[in-house]
Amino acid sequence: MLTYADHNSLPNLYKILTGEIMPKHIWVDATRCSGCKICEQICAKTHYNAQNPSKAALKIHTVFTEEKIWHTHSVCQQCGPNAPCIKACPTGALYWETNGKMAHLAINLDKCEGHFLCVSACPFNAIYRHPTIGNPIFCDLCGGEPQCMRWCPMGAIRLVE
Amino acid sequence: MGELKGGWVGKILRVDLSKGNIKEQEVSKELAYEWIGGRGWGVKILWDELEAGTEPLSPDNKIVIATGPLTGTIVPSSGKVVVAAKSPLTGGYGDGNIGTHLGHMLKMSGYDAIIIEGASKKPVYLWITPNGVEIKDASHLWGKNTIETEIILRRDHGNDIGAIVIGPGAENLVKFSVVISEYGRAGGRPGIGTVMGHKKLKAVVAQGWNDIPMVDIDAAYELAYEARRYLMSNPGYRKWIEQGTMMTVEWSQEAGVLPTHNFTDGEFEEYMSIGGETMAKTYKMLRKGCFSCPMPCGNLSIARFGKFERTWAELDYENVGMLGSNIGIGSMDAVIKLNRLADEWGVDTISLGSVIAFAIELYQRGIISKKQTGGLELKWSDPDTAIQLAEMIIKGEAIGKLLAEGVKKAAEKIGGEAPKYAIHVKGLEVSAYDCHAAPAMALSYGTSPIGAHHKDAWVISWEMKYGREKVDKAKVDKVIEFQRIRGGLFEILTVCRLPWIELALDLEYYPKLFKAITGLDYALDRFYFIADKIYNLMRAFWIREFGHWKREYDYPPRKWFEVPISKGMLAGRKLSKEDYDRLLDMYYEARGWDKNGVPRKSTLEKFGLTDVIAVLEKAGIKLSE
Repeated sequence: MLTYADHNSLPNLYKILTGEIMPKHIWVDATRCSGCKICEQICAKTHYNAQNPSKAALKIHTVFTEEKIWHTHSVCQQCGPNAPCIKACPTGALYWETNGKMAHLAINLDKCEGHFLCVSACPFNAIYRHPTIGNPIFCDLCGGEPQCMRWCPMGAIRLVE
Repeated sequence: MGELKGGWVGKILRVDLSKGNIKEQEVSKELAYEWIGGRGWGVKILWDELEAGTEPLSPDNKIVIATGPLTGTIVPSSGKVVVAAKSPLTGGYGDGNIGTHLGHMLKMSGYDAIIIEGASKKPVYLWITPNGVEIKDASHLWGKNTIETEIILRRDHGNDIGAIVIGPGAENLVKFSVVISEYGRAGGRPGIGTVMGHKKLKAVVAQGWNDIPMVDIDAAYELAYEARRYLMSNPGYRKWIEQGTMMTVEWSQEAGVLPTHNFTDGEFEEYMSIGGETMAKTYKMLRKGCFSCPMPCGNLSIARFGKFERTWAELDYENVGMLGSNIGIGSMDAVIKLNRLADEWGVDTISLGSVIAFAIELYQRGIISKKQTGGLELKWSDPDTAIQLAEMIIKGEAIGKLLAEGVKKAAEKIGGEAPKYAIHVKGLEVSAYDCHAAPAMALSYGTSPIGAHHKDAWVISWEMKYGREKVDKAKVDKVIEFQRIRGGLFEILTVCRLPWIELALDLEYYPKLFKAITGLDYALDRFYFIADKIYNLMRAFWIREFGHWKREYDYPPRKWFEVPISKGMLAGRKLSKEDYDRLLDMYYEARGWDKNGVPRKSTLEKFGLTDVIAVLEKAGIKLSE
């Protein structure tokens, strides 16, 4: 079961199963969100030091239909060490990282060869491929202090378990 | 990119629709440093490239779609774009700004601005990405309303796009057509949509993924965060995000400036039912913000009762004032329906409200007859009449064909008493502030460089505090100050003015952000100097088109001078022509223009507009020293 996961996944899984760590993920309250995309901008700034919302790991979609408009989002749900993306990675570059309190998906860039199988494996469409970046983009919770949460003017972004 | 280090991405796209040519050109240092962007580029490019007397609806007219150095960045409320062209409604300079995702998408695909020339024979739309620019066939979109069009574009190109589109109004060359983005955002009141319709350009769509260069990105983000926190600590913030501009309805009623029955009454009994409180409590279903905006004002509202149930639209004060109280409609559901129709058809809500009210008033006064209206009885407070009339305007039936020209031309054609009831300046319909007893706001409408619009100098709130009776230099100074800031600074940086006007954001943030992003150290005074230069060039543009200038062109609507307010606390009040003339004289003096409103030679020289002097003198216009 754990063969495709990184070596440090086993203790993490143990911690998760025993309730020591609860994997958290970003969640956007659609009733508060205004679709301003400040979160996307700060995400790209934090990770790539660029003014470029298309490099963000959190995407806000404003969906238009004849009947209504609503704001929805897609962001890594931090499925855990058994995530489909981790399973799909042919080089074992994706792994489940922990910093003691927070567990999140992480990538070993030395191993990543840019097959992007994780992108198609993700059931939430939350791993992205950017035309100018050779590795997948996904949410790493900024190592425990998500910047999008800090910047959201509407207070719509929360960490949920 | 040459000398430009950040803010501007450095390229302008030039599209010739007649030949199907697509060219790129570098942003020159002069254009960037001296004209900044947005409105500055709009007027500069149109002045340089258009011949005097260009027919607005001909392939010779050009559209400039311009962003500014701060557009599409983390700067609060920076999701704006300026669209400019020679106006088919007024015959002079026309521009408008629109809150849209096209701003950052255009810059991320590598262009600061687009210049559209010529006219296509068949419907097309522009598809812009960093991989290239295509002129694509739009025959499947032609005839569709703006909402259907945008849904199809998002289906074809993915949801992550920025687009401005036109509707059937612009296709039928209704003179006050606008461009629409994201269902409810409109821009380009002086018929910029009509120019696009004439060029058979259905939409401009961009998707970008390149970085926008910034000199000091860390400083810019820190400043933006600080500015954001400042905004959100304002006690008015909560009310603003609940009601947005809609809270002005109640304020206007109290101040006696709510336009009612074609600017007759100054107050409206049913204002509560179309007010901001009612909207926020009963009708609002979602907040919608422009790109990068921490104080979203988009009130997506849904009709709850009656036959318009489940219709939704994005409400704003101007829309509600003009399509509600101005035609006597006190039902929010009906206003939502009318607003939605205007957005679907891509016509300006302000002008639509004004022409409908104008037609109803003429009918009520017996100036036009049932024969002219095609058998339709026009009466106040009747949503069905308003909707039918609006449909006639879009389709060009009966009197609708006349009204589609805007109130000025319609009044001239009807003749007789009609021009007295046409509420416009320079041909552009007045937006929703009744200035029978507000001389400074009247001056602001009179001297606005695109015709009567509130975006340049919205002094009315200040004027109410200062004293509406007074006629003095302070009012003129305030109008000029607001024109510098709102019509200058914000329009050239192409960011939204609302953080400053509504939540008192310190203006000093803008030079600081400008420095962090572009690396250029400009003081506010330098922006004001550029703003004044732009106002002079816009005035020169009008003079070049008309071949002369009269101070009557800078007068507010005749009705404010001649027909007093009929009821309420301001009953009997009207604007004094003498007072207005005094204000106008002071305004001209402060601007360095002569008695007729023509810039003096010394003024133009001060701003380095020597080529303007040569062009105007060649056209036989006498400039005083």
